[in-house]
Amino acid sequence: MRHTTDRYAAAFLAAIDEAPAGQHARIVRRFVQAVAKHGDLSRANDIVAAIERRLVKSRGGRWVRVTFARPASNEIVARFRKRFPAPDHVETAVDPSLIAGARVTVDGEEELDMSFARKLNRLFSGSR
Amino acid sequence: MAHEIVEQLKREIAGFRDEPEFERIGTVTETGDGIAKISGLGEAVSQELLAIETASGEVTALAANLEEAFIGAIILGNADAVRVGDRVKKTGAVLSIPVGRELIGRVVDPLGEPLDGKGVIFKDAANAQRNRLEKNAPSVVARESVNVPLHTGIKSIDAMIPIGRGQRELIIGDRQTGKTAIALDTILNQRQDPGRRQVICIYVAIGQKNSKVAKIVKLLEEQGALAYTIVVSAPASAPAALQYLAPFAGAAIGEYFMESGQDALVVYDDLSKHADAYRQLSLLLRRPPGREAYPGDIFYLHSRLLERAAKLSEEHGGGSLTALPIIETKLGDVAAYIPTNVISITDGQIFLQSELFFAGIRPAVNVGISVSRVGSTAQTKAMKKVAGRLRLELAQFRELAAFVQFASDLDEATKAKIRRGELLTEILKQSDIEPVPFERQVVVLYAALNGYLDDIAIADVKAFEAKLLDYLDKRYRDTILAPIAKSGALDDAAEAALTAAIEEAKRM
Repeated sequence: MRHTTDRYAAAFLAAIDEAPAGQHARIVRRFVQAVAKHGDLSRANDIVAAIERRLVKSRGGRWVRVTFARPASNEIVARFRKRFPAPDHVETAVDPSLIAGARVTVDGEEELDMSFARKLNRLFSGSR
Repeated sequence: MAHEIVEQLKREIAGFRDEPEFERIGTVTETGDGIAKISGLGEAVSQELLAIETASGEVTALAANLEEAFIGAIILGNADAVRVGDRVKKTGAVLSIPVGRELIGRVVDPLGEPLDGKGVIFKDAANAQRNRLEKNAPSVVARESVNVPLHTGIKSIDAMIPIGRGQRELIIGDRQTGKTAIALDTILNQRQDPGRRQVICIYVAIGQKNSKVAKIVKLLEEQGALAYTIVVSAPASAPAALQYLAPFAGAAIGEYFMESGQDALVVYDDLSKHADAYRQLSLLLRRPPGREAYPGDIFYLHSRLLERAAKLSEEHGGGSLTALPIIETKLGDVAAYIPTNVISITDGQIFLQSELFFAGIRPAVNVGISVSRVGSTAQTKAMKKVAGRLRLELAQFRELAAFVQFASDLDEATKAKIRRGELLTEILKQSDIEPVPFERQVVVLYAALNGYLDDIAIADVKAFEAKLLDYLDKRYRDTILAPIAKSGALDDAAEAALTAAIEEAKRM
């Protein structure tokens, strides 16, 4: 049976929690071996992202992704970061298909879309 | 014109208001074979429509499996455009189809899109009434017993296996035994049943060859039946999702007419292929396979579909939806999974047999094992009076059929029974696309069962039948045929006039 990235993340964090501090490197090594054994090394990035998401959540934070239509200046990115409390993880990305504006996604499940692409879509779907 | 369009667009842009707010989204994590696995969207409900934002536009999907961490969705649009990572949104809507009288004469797909190249169906599609594909069947209190006949135009069926409006009668048989022909004759016959309300027909083609559907549409058009018929087509080339939805679309359209107080007939051709399409989807959705690899809810799939056929009470408009599901058997095996399921759901079955078909008995209805559980209450008085003895006489003939080759050694009474059986079998034969109006069936069966044809050679019976009907049509259309058609009864005066007319025809 193929495991989900979430299951890998949950198992890894539980193992780390239970192991004494000196054993963490060994746990990480064993975990990578287990992932390889199940043929899931190609999903390593997704598994790492799932682990990060769980860590952020365990600290009471949210995983926030801000996607801009064009590379944003450091000042704008910093302003965005300031708007979220410290435990939140804020990452940025660029997606030219947004045309203009930005899109904020929280925990991959909630989204605030302030892009021009959305406005155009709504305008055309409303006039059909 | 161009100026007007530009002005209209300007007005729309000026009046456009968009207030972005947080909304739930999901992500496609797996896709293939018309199925998408979506993470997120924890609040989606079963059968909800989801909008997948692909690079080439929005693609609709149907939430089918709601699991702990994922949603298994059936993609209804261009599945090739869906990629892993595409964003998915809830629409809050469940699958529905626009319905209305505008659909009559059109060929549509299960989502209501026209397939006949005759342009848009609804002028104001946004305001057209929409019926949900999945809907609860009418409740017990909304129904009444079947009490109006639905004449098929096929003598053996109307006489011995009568169907009532609101009934569910299964047509079952091997391939190439004339199942579709019976359904089509029934549709064609609805233009020649003047004593009752016009029946709106819906022919649902599931997994059929496109050439067969085209042939059927052409036939309906040529025969003038498209004026009251709608064709819903999900051919073999359509995705399994559309084949799965097709009968539900047909039921939703039929319900529109039923709920507006009219009579509708829906033919599901055929539910074996429908079950196969659902099995395919279920296996791709990784639902556990059961008997013959069909999913566990295959019975419920067909029972909830066929339960939507009903005769509504007068307080609820008095409309009806009759269902004629078709099942294809393999080598006459009616004990297979899907045939037994549908036999148990329906109110009777018309069983077609290859042996009869190849023996020249067409329609190849095996009247011995075909039944109609509720239709007899809807049968007209005239047909009841005339055909009451028909089933019994044919049953006696079947018992004696083995002795036919020794006919010369038999006593006179047995010989007469065999002769009558052969005569009745001959009378019940009829070509397809030639449904016989009910009043003509009454006349012919009356003549055969009352011994008026006993002195005619079997080979000449069909010719005499044509001669008798032609004679009655020319001389007694208004005095014998029309009153029977209108009243549905054969009183003593009409019987006396009919007897005299038959004797006149024989003398000619």
